[in-house]
Amino acid sequence: MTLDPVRDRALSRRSFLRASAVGAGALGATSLAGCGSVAPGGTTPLAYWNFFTGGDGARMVDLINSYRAEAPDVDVTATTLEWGSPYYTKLAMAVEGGRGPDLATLHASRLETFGLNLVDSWDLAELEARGITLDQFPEPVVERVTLDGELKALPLDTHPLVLFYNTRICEEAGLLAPDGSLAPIQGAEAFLDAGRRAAEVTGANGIAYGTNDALASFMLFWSVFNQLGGEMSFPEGGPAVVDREAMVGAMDFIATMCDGTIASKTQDGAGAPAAFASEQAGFLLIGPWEVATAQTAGIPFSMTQFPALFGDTAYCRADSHSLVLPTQRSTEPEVRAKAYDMAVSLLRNSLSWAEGGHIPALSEVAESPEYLALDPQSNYRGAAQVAAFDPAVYFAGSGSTFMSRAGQSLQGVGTGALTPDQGADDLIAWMDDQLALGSPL
Amino acid sequence: MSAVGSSVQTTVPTPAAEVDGRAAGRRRGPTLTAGRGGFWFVLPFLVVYALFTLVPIVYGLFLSFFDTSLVGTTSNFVGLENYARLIGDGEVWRTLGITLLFTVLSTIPLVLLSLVMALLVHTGTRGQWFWRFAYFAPFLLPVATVTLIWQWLFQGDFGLLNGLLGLVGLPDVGWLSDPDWGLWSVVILTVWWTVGFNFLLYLAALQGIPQNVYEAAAIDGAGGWRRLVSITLPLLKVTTGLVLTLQVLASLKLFDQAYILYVGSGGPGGVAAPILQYVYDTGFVNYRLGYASAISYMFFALIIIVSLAQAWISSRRRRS
Amino acid sequence: MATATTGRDIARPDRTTQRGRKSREGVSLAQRGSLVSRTAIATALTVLAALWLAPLAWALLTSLKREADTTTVPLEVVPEAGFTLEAYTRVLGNDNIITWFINSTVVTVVVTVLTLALATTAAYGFSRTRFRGRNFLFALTIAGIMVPPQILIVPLYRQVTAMGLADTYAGIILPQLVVPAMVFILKKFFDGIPAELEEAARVDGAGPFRIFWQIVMPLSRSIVAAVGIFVFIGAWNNFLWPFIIISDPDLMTLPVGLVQVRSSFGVQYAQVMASALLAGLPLIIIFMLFQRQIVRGVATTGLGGT
Repeated sequence: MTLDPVRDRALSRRSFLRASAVGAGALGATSLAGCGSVAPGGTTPLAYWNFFTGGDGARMVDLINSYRAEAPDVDVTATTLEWGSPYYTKLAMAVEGGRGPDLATLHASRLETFGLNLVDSWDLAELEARGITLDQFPEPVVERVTLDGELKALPLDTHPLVLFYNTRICEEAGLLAPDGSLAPIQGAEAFLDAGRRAAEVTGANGIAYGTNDALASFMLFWSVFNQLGGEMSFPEGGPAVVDREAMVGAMDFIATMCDGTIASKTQDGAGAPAAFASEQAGFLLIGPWEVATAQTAGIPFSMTQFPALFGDTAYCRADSHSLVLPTQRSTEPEVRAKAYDMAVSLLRNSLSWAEGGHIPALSEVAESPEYLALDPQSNYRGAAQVAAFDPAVYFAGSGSTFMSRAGQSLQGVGTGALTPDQGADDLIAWMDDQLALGSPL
Repeated sequence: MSAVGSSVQTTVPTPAAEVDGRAAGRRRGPTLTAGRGGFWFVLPFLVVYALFTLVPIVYGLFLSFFDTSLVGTTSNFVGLENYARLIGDGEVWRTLGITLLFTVLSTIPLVLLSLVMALLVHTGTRGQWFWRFAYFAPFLLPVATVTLIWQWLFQGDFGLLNGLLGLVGLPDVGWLSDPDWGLWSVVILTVWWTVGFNFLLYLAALQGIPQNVYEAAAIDGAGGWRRLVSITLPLLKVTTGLVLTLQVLASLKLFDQAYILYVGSGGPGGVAAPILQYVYDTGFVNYRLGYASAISYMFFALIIIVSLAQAWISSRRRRS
Repeated sequence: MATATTGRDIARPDRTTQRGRKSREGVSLAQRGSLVSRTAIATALTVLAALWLAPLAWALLTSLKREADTTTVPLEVVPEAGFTLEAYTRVLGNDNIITWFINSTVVTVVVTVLTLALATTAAYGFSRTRFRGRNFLFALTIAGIMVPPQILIVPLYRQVTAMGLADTYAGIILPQLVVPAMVFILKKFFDGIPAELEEAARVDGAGPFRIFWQIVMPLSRSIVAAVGIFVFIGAWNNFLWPFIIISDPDLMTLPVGLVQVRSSFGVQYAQVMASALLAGLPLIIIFMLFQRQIVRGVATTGLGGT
């Protein structure tokens, strides 16, 4: 099959329309407006899918537009689909049917879940020809996107769990260092104490934290679990091999923190940033993308790396927006080359992307003076070196069933409905069930 | 609304009302004389029916005995394993429970409210066109429109509902975030959206009640309320049976509005995930098509049982 | 118990259209009742209508605001800056919505026309002709009424994909053409058409197809219209199947596109409400034009479904 799949599809649609126009009244002619993917003379059509909306969406549009300016001979069609399982499901169904886009965004943590056979590996020689080599990326990220020695996804950024703090509240609580930044916090007790002192100032909570939010609670859990030295592995058919002690320890920390004063027992995903933005809390535990919320609110705040609560290394749960090459029924070299060009262009221009809070993956951007001058977005750049990615198993990753199910257990622990022991048993039992089902991949 | 084609329930066919004028009193019924060409009339329909209903029914049953994946290439025969797993899968029963709970919670207001609306409109109060429009119009809207509007009304900080609660000094409700409210929000939306259909069924039934029934009662001196309780409501029994059946079957098939309202998440703590969403999630989100088929068929059996039970009850009623 | 018996005896009219005097203009509590009860009824009607129209009114108001005015606390009915059509200009300036609108129109019109063609011919065949296996095939068709289309999404997805029809109009349309209940309704109607009319035509030498087209169809205009309107509504509003089978944003129908594809610029309520209302507009217009047929269609056939 050497047929151009794009053109082929447009043709069949056209001829179908012609056939149906007889019955449908003369609708055939107008419907051709729907054929956006047909290339006008001489340009290469390139379809790119992503899930960015809001501030990230606007910045991504800028990135795409700068590639469009670089390559006027490429006709980029960018599509934004609803984030989460709707995005991944639609992408998988499209790729599986041989109708996937030429370039797509994927969370690095979703690679196994998505299906490694649905994406082509990046050709390192092609990347090198465009000046990109793997030593230009943070090591933990490269490790996560490299499978069996093949580069499956090209990282655009790293977005770790970070600690937002309100400088006015923290100052009043005596938590600032002389230079006006947050005084280093060492260990769980110090962290909880800082929360308590901030709560005294706000009269509400010290730390805004989405107890009921799967993403927020999982980010905290996974960070602490890793700091406690926890590990998980998933033999085929199960049961899961889990460091139960670390899991109970991490859940115990969450239960202690969610005492109603340090952090709420009932806050949801939208409530936590809102509470921080309205100065009802001195800290906020979430990903760096909420920087826009805090800036819009106009409150005095800054951000820092999630501290080491246990052990010496400040492991923090992170993920990476990365770019993949969905497999095609027949790959056209010309289109594929443009996909490489576009991916590299997005990476090179990711300084503006960093304004949204994401740490740029490419070193030439991450080490640029412009990025280092970004405050507070560059304060926590060290997190990329201690990033802890989700377990590499077919049911995990950002927005996965694992995350939402773990969120249920963690919510139970946070609200006090489950003891840390019960929470751990609950989650482990679910993982065993999943493994017993076997991989669908 | 429906998934593939309109899912349609019939009540009673229209008799040949319009030929009344031309052929009043004459013999009716099929002639059975048009003869041979007959098969060619039904063939096109049967081909499409076979291809897109009968074949998928058989193929789906077949799939339910395999571990077919959405993205994998291999697919193994696993016998009854999918069905055995289903019995032990708490999520199947949990989502089925949600589906049944939703059916109860939505059917009661959808039947009672539509009856009240029809009785009120049937009083003949001026503005008939307007009342019918107001109550029925939401039913005509695409589920996407309905759900997007309600997502906005339910919105926690800027939504109309919490805004109105705030005006009367009540605290905000987490319509879309509170596990205690998650399913109720779907119920409210569904009642608003579909009550108009039942309303029209009741209204038509009321308009079909002959005048002389009431005239006889008026002579006996029955007042308005008494007429309602002793004449109108008993006469609506059959319609109520019909409305109830259609509603139960429709509510059991909850998917679209719950899926869109919660963007596929199943609502806070998963409290609004119906069984059809579990089928969708299993098959398409988690790639397990074989297992998803098995769950579909278990649910299919339930629907068939409900349909047959209804048919049995109504035929018994007719015989007595 | 006496009333119950009476009830059953005269229950028929509520199921079939009875010609003759109806209570439509006659019995009317409002006309006969006291002023108090009339006021109470009018109040109840108004309150319910207000409740039912409020969501639409709020959506309309939102769609006419500037984005910044949609998220005010406390709520503002009329924003200080006044109303604007900005959201509609933005939405209609967006290629996607126009494309989806065209897709929805094509799909809905083709589905309606083809479903009617298939259902009327099949109903005529089952009603007015005799052939071997007729009763069995009719029973098989009727059994299809019990099959909820939602049950078939998994096998249909595999099948339609294997046929190479995923992401095509044909893939959206073909599975929607099977509506056994319509065949049932139309057959019952055809059963009631007097035989003499056809016999006369046959004497004149008309074949079955001419009889169908020139005698039966003209007599059945109203039922065909009722069925057609319902198929149209069902197809325009259909969500699940197009949602499953289409991944190309250029081929999505309006309800699917609205739900799946997001603006890169985040949730903009005025625009979301504007596009949601635009998606519902065609059916509201159809209702305004065909209210009588729709009301009658529901009354006599009870079709539709949620």
